[in-house]
Amino acid sequence: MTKLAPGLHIAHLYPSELGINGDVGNVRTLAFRARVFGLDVHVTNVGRGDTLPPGVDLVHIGSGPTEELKLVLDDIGRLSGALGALRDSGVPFLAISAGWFALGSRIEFVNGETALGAGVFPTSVQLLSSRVVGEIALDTRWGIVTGFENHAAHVDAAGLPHLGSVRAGVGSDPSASRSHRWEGVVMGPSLGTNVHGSLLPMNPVLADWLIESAVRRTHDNWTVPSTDALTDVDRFAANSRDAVLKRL
Amino acid sequence: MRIALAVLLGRAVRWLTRLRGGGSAMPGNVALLLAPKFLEHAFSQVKSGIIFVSASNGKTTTTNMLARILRAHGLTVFTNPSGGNLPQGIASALLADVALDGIVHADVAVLEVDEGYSVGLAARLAPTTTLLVNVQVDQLNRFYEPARVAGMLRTLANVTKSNVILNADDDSLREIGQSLQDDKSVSWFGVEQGLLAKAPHGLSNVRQQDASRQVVRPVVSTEVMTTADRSAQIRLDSVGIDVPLPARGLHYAVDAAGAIQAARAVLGSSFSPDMAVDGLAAMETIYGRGEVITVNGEDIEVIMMKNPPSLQMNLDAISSRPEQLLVAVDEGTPDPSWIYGIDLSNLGDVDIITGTKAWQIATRFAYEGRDVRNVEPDPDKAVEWFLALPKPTSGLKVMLVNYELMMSIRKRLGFLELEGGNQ
Repeated sequence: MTKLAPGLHIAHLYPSELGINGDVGNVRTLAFRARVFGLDVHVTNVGRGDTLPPGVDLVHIGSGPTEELKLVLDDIGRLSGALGALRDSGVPFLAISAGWFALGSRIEFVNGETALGAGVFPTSVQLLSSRVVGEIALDTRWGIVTGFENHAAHVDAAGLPHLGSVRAGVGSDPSASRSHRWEGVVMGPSLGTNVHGSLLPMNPVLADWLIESAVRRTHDNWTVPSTDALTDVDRFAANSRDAVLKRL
Repeated sequence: MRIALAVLLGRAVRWLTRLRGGGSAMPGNVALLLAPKFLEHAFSQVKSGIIFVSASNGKTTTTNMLARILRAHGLTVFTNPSGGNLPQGIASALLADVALDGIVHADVAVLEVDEGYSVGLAARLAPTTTLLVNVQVDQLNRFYEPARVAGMLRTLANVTKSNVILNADDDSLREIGQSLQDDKSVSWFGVEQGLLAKAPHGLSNVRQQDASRQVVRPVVSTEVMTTADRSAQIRLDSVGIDVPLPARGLHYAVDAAGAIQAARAVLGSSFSPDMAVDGLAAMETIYGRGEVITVNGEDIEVIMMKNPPSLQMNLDAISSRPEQLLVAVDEGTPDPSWIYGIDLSNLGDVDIITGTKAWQIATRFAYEGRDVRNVEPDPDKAVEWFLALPKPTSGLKVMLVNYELMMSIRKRLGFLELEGGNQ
């Protein structure tokens, strides 16, 4: 009897509504690397009205415009129980900007209206009329993380550890003083952040951490195998980070 | 007096900047500084109206097409052909055209206007006709959200005096059309629905995700029925005409349909399909959209990656996978993350990637499973290396470049004229 390869089933939430910033690059990176690691990869897109498929190992949700965020908020309450159960069972979430807000506890819009999120993350957010746009670099427990921020939001981390302190850029609390700027949160195996688009392509260490966390739920001792197949892409990513750091 | 001074000094600056090669908004800025009402004054005596053309993609092409169609009908047309679609760009274009009185002596003005400046320009110039081609994902670092662009174009359409011409296959423009007051004439162009269904990625316009806000497709007066390599059949109510296009691709047919419908709205019973075809036949290739340039005797195809929809449409129009490919992206694309949302299946391995974003682009191609032979962030070195490669065994060398690097690479290769500067 052949032993089944461990699987990685990624649920990509609301890709049509929350997908204008290239966040699908995060999913592509996870799937590509996981296949190189010998995992049996499936990606299921979950849109409005859809139910979550069984056997989800990792959840991704991307960023998008405010109008689309409101459409998602009208729908996501339906899924909040199932998403909460996934979180409680140790499934990692990667939630980017508007998608992170939708999975948070509460959103206050610029006009003062409020809405409830799915409650996967305890974080809450106040949307602002002024915007933060530009490249960003963070110091994190994984080393330097770089990317692009484009948001108008002030996030309350609700006591969660930050993804990183801001080395250059603004981060998730635009009101913080320069020396106290922070970006994103880490909740167990999950990340919520305003660094969108190329977060995982540019920072593969985060992708591998998410994959490892996902697979270890069912395969205790599984670790990311060493491989030459990612040498080039990891070098490209490292040089991308260096280029961002040089610009900032 | 103020106007004459603005014209004289603006011209002097224009002469100096042209001496340096390439165009500049500086002459227009000088004129506007000396005479803040330079634009209002210049267009005050245009007899048959001021036409604004705006869109996320296709502004330059559509403006050029409309100007040529109107000229083919015997009208004198002022247009801003340099892609200078901000107030200072229009002022710069005026300096090349007006006498010391600063007045445009033309029957009609066809102005390409930047979405972000369209509302302000409309307040100054009171357009009689507005042609809107699409609302697509573009420059999110500048516009933040497509809905903001739609809001600007809605205001522009609302303040337009007589005619509003809209793309029936764009959800945002359908909403705008429905919201307009009855005091203006709204007409529509589009793509036959069977033909549209066959396009791999449609027209890449922003989709209204909220079903309750979706507007039924209106009756279309000018419709693209079929496309061939560089031509299209377009239906004008019940009559079909064959029109030439400046390059292959469904989006050029859409631009042509929009220009034709705008000409029909402006000209009324004077509109002639034959003259429209004559006007479109006079189009030259607009560079960076499948244009072929000749360097040292070798033909090279240049494809522009301006934003997701335009890149996707340009890639969809590729006839065969390029054997040799250079990709160039710099800070003109502050966040190139969107290339992860692009279907790159029409592209193969890459010979060289250049520009300040080269490593990010290389990462993208690697995650597509493509080989990246060389990364050289310095564009001069990269272009030189690429040009020195032996010619491909079939097809042409292809350069896929963002707007800013296209301008500098062209300049370096000795192509000095401005975008659309083929008036």
